Formats: sequence, structure tokens, C-alpha cells
Amino acid sequence: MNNLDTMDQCLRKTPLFSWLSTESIAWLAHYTEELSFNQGDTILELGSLSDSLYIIAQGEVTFICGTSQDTDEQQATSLDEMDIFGELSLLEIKPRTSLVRAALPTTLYRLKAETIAQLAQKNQDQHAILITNLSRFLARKIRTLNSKKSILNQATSKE
Amino acid sequence: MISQLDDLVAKEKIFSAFKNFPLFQGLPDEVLVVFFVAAQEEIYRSGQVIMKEGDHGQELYIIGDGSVDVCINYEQESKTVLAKLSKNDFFGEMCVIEPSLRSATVVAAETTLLYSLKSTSLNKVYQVWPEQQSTIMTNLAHQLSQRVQKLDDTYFSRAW
Repeated sequence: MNNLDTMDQCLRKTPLFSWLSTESIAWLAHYTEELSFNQGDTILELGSLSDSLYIIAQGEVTFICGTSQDTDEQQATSLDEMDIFGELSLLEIKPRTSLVRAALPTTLYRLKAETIAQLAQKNQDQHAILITNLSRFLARKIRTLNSKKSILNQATSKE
Repeated sequence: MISQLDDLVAKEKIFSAFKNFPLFQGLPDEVLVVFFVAAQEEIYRSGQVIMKEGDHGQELYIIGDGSVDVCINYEQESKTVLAKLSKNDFFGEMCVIEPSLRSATVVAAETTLLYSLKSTSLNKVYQVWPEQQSTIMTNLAHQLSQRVQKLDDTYFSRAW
């Protein structure tokens, strides 16, 4: 299997790309870049512009929030294979609020927000499907966070 | 004659309110007119339930005036107010994304004017103006992303 096929398959498995046509997936795969990092490498700097969506094809990444002083580093969260990050760059390009580091030897697939915008020019139906997937992802996230909030609320009211 | 004029002025006012709804940003007037005609005006008094958690629902609501509380486990001891929404905000949007039950109970926090839009109205618009679907969905995703930010700041450290 060549590289493009691997990317194609990887995009297909990402929920954000559900229901896209075979042509769109192939087109996106064509513009996807593969990036490799060693363990401990900085992938993205804090404050750099977040202008791409990343899929973790292999490895693990850690997001470090906050301060410039290494001693105060706060590990926010880490993600592993098939997780995505940078998805909100599809809506708006903003400076990163975290430093991204490879926790293991890592391979990432990078899709520029610009490429996704070109998909909108090329085929708006397909772009609408993708953005609907993003909305669904966000709506589910809200539901999960809300139910956590409710459980927390119950726990505190019982005290 | 004067009452007809008043009516026209009132309509004009509502139409310009529609133009300012974040959900409708970037839509051409011809599409806005369709939503304007399709939207149902509803008025609720403080404390009245607008939608119930667990119900089926096919409408999206936009707040024209007033405010609402979004709650889960309403009428139970474990009731939690998840959010307060006010003028120009919308709720019930899940039904335009995927078939699902209402995830929360929404109650008017004061006298509130709502515009309800059936998900079928949106689908009709997409049939005539398919290119507008991505605009509406992008607006929707924007609003949802802001809501997530209010709930969980750490999500943003990876999403942006």
C-alpha cells in the first residue's frame, strides 16, 4: 500500500470526514502532508497560528498550556492514535493556547484549513457535510460536558 | 392605512432582527425572507416550559427578546441550570444536525419572544439554495464552539 492509500484510509476512519464522497476523500488525501517527530520534539509552539487540522496517525502528543517558564508547565491533556486536534482552525485561524509536544515517536497528518476552504469552493455540498460533522462533534462534546456538570452538581448538593 | 404602515414598520423591524441573528450571518436577503416567512412567533411567560428533556422535537428556536434557562433534571432535586441564553441566541439546534431527543429542558426566565423554525424549513432552503447549507452550518459550528469554550477551556488548547 502506498502512502496516499494509507492517508486515504486514515481520513476515511476519522469521524470528521464521515459521509464524504470517495472523490472528496481522495482529493483531501492528495493535499494531506505527513509529518514525523521524535519523542520530546516540539510540534507546535505556543502562540503560533493554528491554521491546520491534524490527525495522529501514530504515537502520542501532549498539550502544554500556559506559561513561558518551563517550571510552571501544565500538562493539559494528551491524545493518541486517530485522535484529531486543531479542528477549530476550520472555523477561524487563531494563535495556539498551548505548546504541542510529541510524547512518543509520532506521525501526524496535516490538512491546512486553506485546503478545506478550497473544498468549499470546489464542492459546497461536501464542505457542508464536513462542517455538519464538526457541529455534531461539538454538540456531542457539549452534551458530555453538561452531563459532567450535572453529576458534579449532584455530588456537591449531597454534601 | 396607518395600521397597514405600522404593520409594515413592525415587519421591517423583525426582518432586520433576523439579519442580525448570528445563525443567519452571511445569508442573502432572499434566503432570509424565506426564514422570516417560515418562522413562527411564540411568546412565553416567565417560568413556562418551552421544551422538555427527552421529548422529540423538530424545531430550532431563536430568541427575539428575553432570556431562557437551559436545565437538566428539571423538577427534580438534582436540577442543574446548564446555561442562560438571551437575545439572538438559539437552542434546539441538535434537530438540524441529527435526529435526537431534546437533551435539556428550556424554561423562559422572563417574558420571552421566540422564533421557531422547523428543521424541514431549513431542508427546503437547502434544496433551493444548496450553497447556503455550508454558511448556516459554519455559523452553527461557530456558536457551538463558543459554548464549548464556556464549558471547558482546556478543549481549546488542542482545538486551536
